[in-house]
Amino acid sequence: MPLVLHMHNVTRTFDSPGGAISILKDVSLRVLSGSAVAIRGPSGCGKSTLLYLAGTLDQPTSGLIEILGENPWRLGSGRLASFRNQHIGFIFQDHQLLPQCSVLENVLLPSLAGFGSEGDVRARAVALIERVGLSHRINQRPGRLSGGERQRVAVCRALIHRPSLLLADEPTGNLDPTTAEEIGTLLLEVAAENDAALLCVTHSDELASRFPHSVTLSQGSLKFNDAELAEQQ
Amino acid sequence: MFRFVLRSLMFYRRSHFVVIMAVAVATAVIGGALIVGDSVRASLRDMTLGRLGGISHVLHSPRFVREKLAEDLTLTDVDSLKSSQTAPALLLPGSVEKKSSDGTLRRAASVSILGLRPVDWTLLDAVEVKPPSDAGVVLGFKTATELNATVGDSVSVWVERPSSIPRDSLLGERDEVTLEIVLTVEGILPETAGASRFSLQPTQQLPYNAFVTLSTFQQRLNLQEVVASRRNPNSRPARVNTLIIGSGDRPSRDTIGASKTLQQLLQTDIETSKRLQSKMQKAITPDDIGLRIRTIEDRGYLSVESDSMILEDVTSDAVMAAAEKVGMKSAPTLVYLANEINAANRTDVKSQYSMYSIVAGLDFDKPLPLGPFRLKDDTAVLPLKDDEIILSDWLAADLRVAVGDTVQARWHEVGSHGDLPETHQSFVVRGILKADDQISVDKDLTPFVDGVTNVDSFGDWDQPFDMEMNRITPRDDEYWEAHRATPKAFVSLATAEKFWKSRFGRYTSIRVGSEGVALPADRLETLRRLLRSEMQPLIDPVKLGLAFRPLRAEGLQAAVGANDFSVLFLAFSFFLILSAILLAALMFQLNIRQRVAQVGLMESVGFSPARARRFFVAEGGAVAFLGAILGTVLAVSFAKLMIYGLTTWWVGAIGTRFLKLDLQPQSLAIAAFVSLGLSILVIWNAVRKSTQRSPRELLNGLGSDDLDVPQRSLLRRLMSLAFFVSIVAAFALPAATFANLVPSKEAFGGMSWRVVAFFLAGFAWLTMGLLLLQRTLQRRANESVVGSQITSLTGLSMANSARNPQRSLLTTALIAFAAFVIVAVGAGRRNPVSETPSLSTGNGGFSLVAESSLPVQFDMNTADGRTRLGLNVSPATTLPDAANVFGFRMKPGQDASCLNLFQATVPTLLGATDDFIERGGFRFADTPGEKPWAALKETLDETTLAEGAKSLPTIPVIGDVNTLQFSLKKGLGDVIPAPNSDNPEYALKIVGMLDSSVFQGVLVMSDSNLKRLAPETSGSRYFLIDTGDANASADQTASALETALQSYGMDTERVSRRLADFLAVQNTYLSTFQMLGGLGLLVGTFGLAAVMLRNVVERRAEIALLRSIGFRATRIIWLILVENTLLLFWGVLTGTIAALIAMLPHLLSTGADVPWIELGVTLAAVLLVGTLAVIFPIWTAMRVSVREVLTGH
Repeated sequence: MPLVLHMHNVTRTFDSPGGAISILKDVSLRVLSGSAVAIRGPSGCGKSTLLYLAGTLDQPTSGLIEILGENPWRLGSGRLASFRNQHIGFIFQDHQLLPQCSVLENVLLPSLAGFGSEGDVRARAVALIERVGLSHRINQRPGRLSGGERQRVAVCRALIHRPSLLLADEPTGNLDPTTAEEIGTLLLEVAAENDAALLCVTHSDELASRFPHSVTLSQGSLKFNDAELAEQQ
Repeated sequence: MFRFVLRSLMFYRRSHFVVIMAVAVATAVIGGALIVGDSVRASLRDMTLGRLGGISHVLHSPRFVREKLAEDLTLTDVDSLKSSQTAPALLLPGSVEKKSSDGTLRRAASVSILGLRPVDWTLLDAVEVKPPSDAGVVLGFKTATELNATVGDSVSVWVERPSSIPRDSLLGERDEVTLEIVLTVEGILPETAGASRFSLQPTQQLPYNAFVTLSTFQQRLNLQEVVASRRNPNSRPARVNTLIIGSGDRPSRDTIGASKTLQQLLQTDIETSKRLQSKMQKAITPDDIGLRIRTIEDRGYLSVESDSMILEDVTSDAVMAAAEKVGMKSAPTLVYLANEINAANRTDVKSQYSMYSIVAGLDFDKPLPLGPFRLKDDTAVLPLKDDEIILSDWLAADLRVAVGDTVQARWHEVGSHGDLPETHQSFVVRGILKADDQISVDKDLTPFVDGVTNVDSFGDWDQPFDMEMNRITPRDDEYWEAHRATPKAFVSLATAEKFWKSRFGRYTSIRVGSEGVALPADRLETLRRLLRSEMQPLIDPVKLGLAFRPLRAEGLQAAVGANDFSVLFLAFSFFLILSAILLAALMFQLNIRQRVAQVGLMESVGFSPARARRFFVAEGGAVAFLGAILGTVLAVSFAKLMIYGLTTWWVGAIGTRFLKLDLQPQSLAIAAFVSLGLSILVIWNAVRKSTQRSPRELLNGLGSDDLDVPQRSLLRRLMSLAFFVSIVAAFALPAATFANLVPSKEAFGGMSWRVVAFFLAGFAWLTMGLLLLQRTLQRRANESVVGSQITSLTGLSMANSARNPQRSLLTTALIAFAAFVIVAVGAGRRNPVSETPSLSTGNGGFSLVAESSLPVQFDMNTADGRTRLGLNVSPATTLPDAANVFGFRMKPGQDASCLNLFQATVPTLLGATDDFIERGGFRFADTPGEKPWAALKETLDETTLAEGAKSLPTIPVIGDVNTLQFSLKKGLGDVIPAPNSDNPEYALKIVGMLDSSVFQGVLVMSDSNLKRLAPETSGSRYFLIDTGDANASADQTASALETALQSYGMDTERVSRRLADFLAVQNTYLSTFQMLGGLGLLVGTFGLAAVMLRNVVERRAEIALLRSIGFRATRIIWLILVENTLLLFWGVLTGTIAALIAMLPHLLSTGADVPWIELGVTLAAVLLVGTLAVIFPIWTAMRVSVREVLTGH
């Protein structure tokens, strides 16, 4: 299986009044296409930072990150945006839907960036919405949706361009257990259906347990919780 | 993108509403200002078209030309003028009086009186009013109002008697210069009639005018046709001083509304003007310029003379050039009247003398028939020195003198105030002419002067001075009887010019003859015709004051206005526009800050940062666009409101109620475009500033403190230094000024160093106040960091303000600065009425200013002058002893004061006498030198206005800084072409600028220079009167002058009153600024409220927390209210105190007229609205559900 994400000796430090703080220290991680990895760890350990680095929304202080064999930080601003649009899908804890737009429009948002062909994108959006069971809500705004429904819309939006790398930051953090389970299942299913590498930050043991692989982030370093993933590294 | 923008617009419509309204306000204010400017210009054009009716061109001259010239100018050969109407007219300044039944006299001075043929009445826009009959007069609205006249009333029209001989020359009439014409009022023009505005000078204020028939005017002024008689062999055609050209087309406001049409009209009128001038050159005859070519048959030559007794230099040059062209010889002559010639230093015989002898200056060696002069011994006259003279045999016999003896002559000089001081001069007799010499014994050497050369005896002379009749000897009578005005003595031409040449010319006649031959009568007639035709092309009518002016084009061009009201109102509305735009930016930023996560989201899904921002800028642009569209609609209403203001509350600024709305689509488009551009700029900046972060930060949203970056140490040190300097300056500068350590002399722009010191102190207070706030907020913020305790709600408010020290400071600074400007401008109002006359102020130490409709020839400071003017003949006409009158010669021009909205080019010129220049006085601005007035007497190098143009004599002038800078757009050292830029003859160079003086609207030059520039002016028409300190003295002086000089149309006014009139414009502008600035300040307070709203929104969770832990609503309201009003009060108070300190010197002066109530109301309104404006954020805060906020929903 092709390698989707390759993080090699990645360090991320932040300036603070008390001096530089290293959130991640020489972290290395390889994630293959079709695999799903849960990232666990205590609050403030750098899980989200790792995710944002993987999603090119943040730049490492040192180390190398390659996605699909490409170092995205060597691309210019425009090409980086295009790269993100084409290959990475994000799902956030608080879904980040545009309240002014309908379900369909929110799902279509990445297509507005204009980097891909728009031929069947609308049909795909409709299909995705149907796939997550929100056909009846397709023209409604997020304000009318429940938390679980909003997160399903966010999942659709993340998948609209068939990304190779799907990143989810506490996707069930604000949801009740039932809905959280539904979303967890959905995530894993759609990632598998799209053959995408799924990287999910979660505090939920229940959710993490459903992932084939998991890592724990502690004091800036990664600990691989299963041998298969460790072997892939 | 379109759909996204549309969705966002709809979704965030409530927060966008405020942005739309703010942009709409900015657009409305900009558009309104532009419309006001358009309306003023259009109204001025309207007034011009109404003022002139069907008149397109006019020739108005100080000389009187043939009435028939109008006919000769009928331009059937010029296509564009085929439909034109040419009207001869008399246009004279004068005054009109009406005696009421109770005996009180009402007078309108400086009235333009137009004599027109009834057939030409249609040229005026007189609506239904019919032309006057021969015994009637039609009064303009303002004249009738001033006189309280009604149809059927009898009025007296006073005008100056025309005099062909200049009043400032020896034989010029000086005593009986005015003429009363009693007429019946047959019509009164309504205020709306264009003819009520008739004047040659553009002004929006109604002028005084009156209309009579041309024939009446001509008859009464002795300008009617005269047929030759035995007693007066000189026939004379009927005369006029004005030729009016009526255009076939009468453009209306609508037809010239389009700038293209206007430009075409201007171009056509200017072209036509050139054609008219060219036609004038061909049509003009010697008669038109008062030139006579007398045939001297018995001597076989022609004598070219002038009605004015002296040939103008341009005419003399033309005559001599024409004579040369036809192969003739010319001999110029200058004769003068010697009151007495006597044998000087003779002790051997009883004093011998001869009275009233003509002395001629000429060249003696001219060939026949013009010379040569032969002496008794039949020798030729050798060249004479300046102190040498040749006597006729008659005079030599009278005086019993021989060659080598000395004779003394005395003659009148012409003084500057109509006085005729005598000059004595000794000459050595260098020769005595042959008694029967046909050449020298020639009465035609003296030009014909009606009432002098054609009378039988000295007793019949019609002379303007007292003659010493008791000294006239029988021999004098005998000579007059035999030889009349034949010269008795001769000097060289150069000597004559040295003594008797004047600004009117250097020769009294030029004899033209064929060399060596006395031509017979028939050939003389042929020569006369030839000379006439040769002279014609050589005489430039323009140089003789016979220039056509494209009056309509001039008026329409001047209608662009002295001041662009668009710019003026944009400046007045500066704070309003700024506040509105900033409010739009603040509100949009507030919206964006709530939505930064959306930007982060867009970047996370593949939008580049620039592209993601573009969505929000597009959204902002759409909001601004809607605001701009709404604003264009509101602009019309705003403009209507401003125009209503200008015609009611602020009428003092424009002096007319005839201001009509003129809507130009391009102005609305410009307003929309400008405000849209500005809004998009600030919106783009707001988006950029709010979203210039990593996507991760954006996705996390912005905290309330996120925009404040810690100050760098260098900046902090600089701020500390500025704070220290401002404290020192705030206290040290006023202290130093009160201790007289600051000099009181001028610093620049008419401001003294003391004024500058206080202004700097005011700024120091402003800076100190704001930096104090900054330090307080900073300290509070720092204390928060180290964990200081908040012990009260007010302390908590303070802490809240300190959360964003820069934002709070900027908002407060905006309010403080606006308050500073509004209070400073308001406090700058002056009322000169309360000022006492003082040498170094705008009144120059004078209590009264007076203007007469007709020139006053005599010196009002001498007993003789007062007597001749009828002063001091009764208690009512007696001037107080302390009264000192300074008269100024005047060449009327355009009113260039701030009272005239039209663009002036050459204003009225005043000639200051040496006495006035020596006296000095008035306050100067930016003018170097201890005695600035003395610069008027300096001789300046010639000026070349443009490359290749001829060099012009340069005349130094002084003007008021307001007139120069705002009306004429000139400064110190600049040059104004005179009499106009089309045909400049002189360059007026500005050598001094007066500060807020009574000389607003005019330019002052030395009297001698004005005589040079405008030789036709005589006497004084403008007066400044120093009456000492007592008010009663000023009243008595005013009353005496107006009573005694009633026939001159003397009108006196307190200098303080006139200054107040000038300042009324300035004060009105200040009121306008104050009101619009106040509105801006109000909008600014909404901006402050917006900041509060933002703070509240950003701190919703905190407020919810306070509520959750038991804070009562009232306490939370107090918390937010204090936070807002703290900054508001701080800003208003800092600005107000600083402004009052800056204006302290003015506030302590006697002329300060501060509208305390208006200022107080403005500031109170700002504080009230600012406080009330917080209600909305508080209301918003209170509506938030505690649960929703605290649970993050």
